Amino acid sequence: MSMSGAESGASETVDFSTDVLVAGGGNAALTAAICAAEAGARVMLVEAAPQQWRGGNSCHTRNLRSYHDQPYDVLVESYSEQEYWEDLLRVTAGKLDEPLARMTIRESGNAMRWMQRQGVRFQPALSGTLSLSRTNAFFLGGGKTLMNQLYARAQALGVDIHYETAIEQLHFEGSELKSVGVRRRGFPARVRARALVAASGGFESNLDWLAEAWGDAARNFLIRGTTYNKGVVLRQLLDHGAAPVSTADQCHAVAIDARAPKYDGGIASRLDCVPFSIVVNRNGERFYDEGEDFWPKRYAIWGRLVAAQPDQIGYSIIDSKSIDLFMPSLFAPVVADTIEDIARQLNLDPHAVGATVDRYNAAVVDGSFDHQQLDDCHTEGLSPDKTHWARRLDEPPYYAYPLRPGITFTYLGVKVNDRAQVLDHNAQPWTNVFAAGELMAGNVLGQGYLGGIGMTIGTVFGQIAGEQAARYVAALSDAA
Amino acid sequence: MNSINKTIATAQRSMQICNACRYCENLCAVFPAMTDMRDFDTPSLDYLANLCHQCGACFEACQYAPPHPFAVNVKQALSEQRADSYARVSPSRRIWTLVQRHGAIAGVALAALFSIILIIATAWTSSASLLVNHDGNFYALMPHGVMAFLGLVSFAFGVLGSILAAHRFQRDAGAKLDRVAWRGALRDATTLRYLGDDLCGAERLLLKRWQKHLHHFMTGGFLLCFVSTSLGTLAHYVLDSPAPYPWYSLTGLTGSVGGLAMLLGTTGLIGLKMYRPAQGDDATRAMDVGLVTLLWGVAATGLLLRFAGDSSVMGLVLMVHLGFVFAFFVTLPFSKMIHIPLRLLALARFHTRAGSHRLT
Repeated sequence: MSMSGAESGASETVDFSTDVLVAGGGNAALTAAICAAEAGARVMLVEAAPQQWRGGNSCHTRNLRSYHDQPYDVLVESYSEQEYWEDLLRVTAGKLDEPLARMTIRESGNAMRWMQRQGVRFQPALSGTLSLSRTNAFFLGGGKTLMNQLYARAQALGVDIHYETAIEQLHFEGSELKSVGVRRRGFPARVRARALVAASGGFESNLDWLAEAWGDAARNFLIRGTTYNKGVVLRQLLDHGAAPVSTADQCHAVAIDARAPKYDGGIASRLDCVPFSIVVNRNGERFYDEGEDFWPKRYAIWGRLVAAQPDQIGYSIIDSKSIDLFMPSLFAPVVADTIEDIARQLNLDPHAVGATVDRYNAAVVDGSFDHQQLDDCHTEGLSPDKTHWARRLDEPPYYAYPLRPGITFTYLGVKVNDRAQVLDHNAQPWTNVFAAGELMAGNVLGQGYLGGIGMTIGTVFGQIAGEQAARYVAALSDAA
Repeated sequence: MNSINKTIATAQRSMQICNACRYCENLCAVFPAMTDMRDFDTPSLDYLANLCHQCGACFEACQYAPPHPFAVNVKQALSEQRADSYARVSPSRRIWTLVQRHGAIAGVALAALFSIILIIATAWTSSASLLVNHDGNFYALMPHGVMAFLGLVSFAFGVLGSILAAHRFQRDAGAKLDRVAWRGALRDATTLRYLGDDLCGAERLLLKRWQKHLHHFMTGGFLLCFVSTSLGTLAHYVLDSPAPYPWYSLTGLTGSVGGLAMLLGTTGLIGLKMYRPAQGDDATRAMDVGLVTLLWGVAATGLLLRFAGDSSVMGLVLMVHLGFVFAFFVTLPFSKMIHIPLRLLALARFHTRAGSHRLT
């Protein structure tokens, strides 16, 4: 096809020309690139990070949630579409696009097989992962091994991969993308592309944007993954008229160890002690029912809970009875023989914390403790009560873990249709711009989270975006 | 002592991060073995380090590896711990350190020394000349009894030293090893199960597959040579039929095929070592090269002997071959060969732990 037609604002020479330009370097992006290449398109992929940091948040992931009607590979028993749908509905409280969500669930069954065809291997659910073996297929060697395999596969298919290449400016003509200005290892370059797949993540690494949504509280957030998801492409798509989905303050956030690094702490900084503890804020007061439900069903709300506390900090306190009930923590707990001492080490008011613990201990109603059941150990007369696994804190030594909100990824994204095309405010699809992954996950996750669904969304929409982009390019060639 | 403490501290820190992550759980035996441990003292780290086969799959899988600030490098941490464990259980730490320092050439140098001594000794004491065709009759130059004695003594020295090292290792481990454990260990060892070759990455896959095949060639060839020697011994004492044996005899065939396989294997492994230059994460690299080179010498001189049997240089080649063989025996406890008993013991211990072999 000829290169006729003036480019909007193009005074620079074109350095690269490709059929499908994939923005991003994570699971969704690589999936799209592989599918587009398999469908016969020339594909160029731009990853803002250098090679050692490639893969974005995907390197921190460990599984994808997959429906199946019978046991398959590492997935035991069955997990029906209906049950998957009900789980998703519950955590999002109905805030999602139903047709897209149902499609995602339906296609999740193929996602795992698609990955296996690329050479990806799976492993049984990890020890200590709380009965996920029915619903989640774990990547052998984790997300980084998954990404290594997808990159190897993409390279074998001839995808032109550029590291340290960040997108700076999208150039449109109406709703048609014409070219993209990038910065390649510091030097500006122009890429002409017939189609764009936007799979460059949310904006969770962008502290300024987070502050726009959360106020100063955002300064105390920890970012569980990559430093590279600044939301550049997302912002430009929204500014150019893409319809937004979800809101800037929606995200997947969990409570993690406050001592974790600002970025890329990943899975290791997760703490599983909350259900067996009491959690107090900076003022030494409890603020939520720590034993509301099993941890896998509640851990996703604790990020927001701690975010809402003064200084965005909480402290989980247990006694020696509970120290062996959860996965070992990355950082050693704070240890002391008295509650007052623990409080002092945490720079909390020892009287306030002492009073909270005394009040809690007095309110505990004896029951038969069983961490594998919703047991009858609870408190009465407290505000808030602890409804399960409540035992007195009376056997030193005492242990404490400081908690902060850890943002995994943000939900504000672009609206898409079932062909992964970006939609404008009139629900009309743009001709040649597609989205996959975090950048559009908000279509399926308006709020809340379901473990493993992030990767499912990335693979399902990555496949669709890649195939559709290649199909669009092929149709152009046929028409020319 | 400082560097040893640093090694242990690094390994402990890595293990703590691994325990909180666990994505590598089914890559090999090390990670399930790690799962039940909360404290990582020296005996525990030695166990994990000797379970590790230096394959590097975990390093490529690790999202906390450099350039991440956690800088986790389990391959390197365990490699250093392993080298340190070898030194600690060795019959003589001083000799071990000496050999380690000159790793690549120590074995070959000793072989050369033994060869020279044998040549000189034979030239002085034997009535037969070294540079004359003896029609393949080794014993014209060195009586069978002397050869057998020297072989036995050097072999016994090596084996006893290795047994001592293995005992030290096991004494600190404290696990009871039953038949099930040994069966599992032998199966994993003979198939090189944990020399991970079935992970992703095209180039890596190819290299790892080659390493496995070549290692099988080397050990298979070595065992065939051992069979050949045993058959020869049987023939000599039981059937009253001394060497030399025709090439088409069982003794001759097993020796030739074994030697060829061994030569192929060691040549390939040396090539692999050179293709993949040192990346600073292999603490026993010098010793690995040293052993493989020594074994190459054993195989090459042995094959040479097979072909030089009816020539006038047979005597010289015989002494050189014996020099290599005796050097190999004598250095058994001080070379990479020590990985055989120690890794076997670690594998056996792995197979005693009920929940630890969940691997697919």
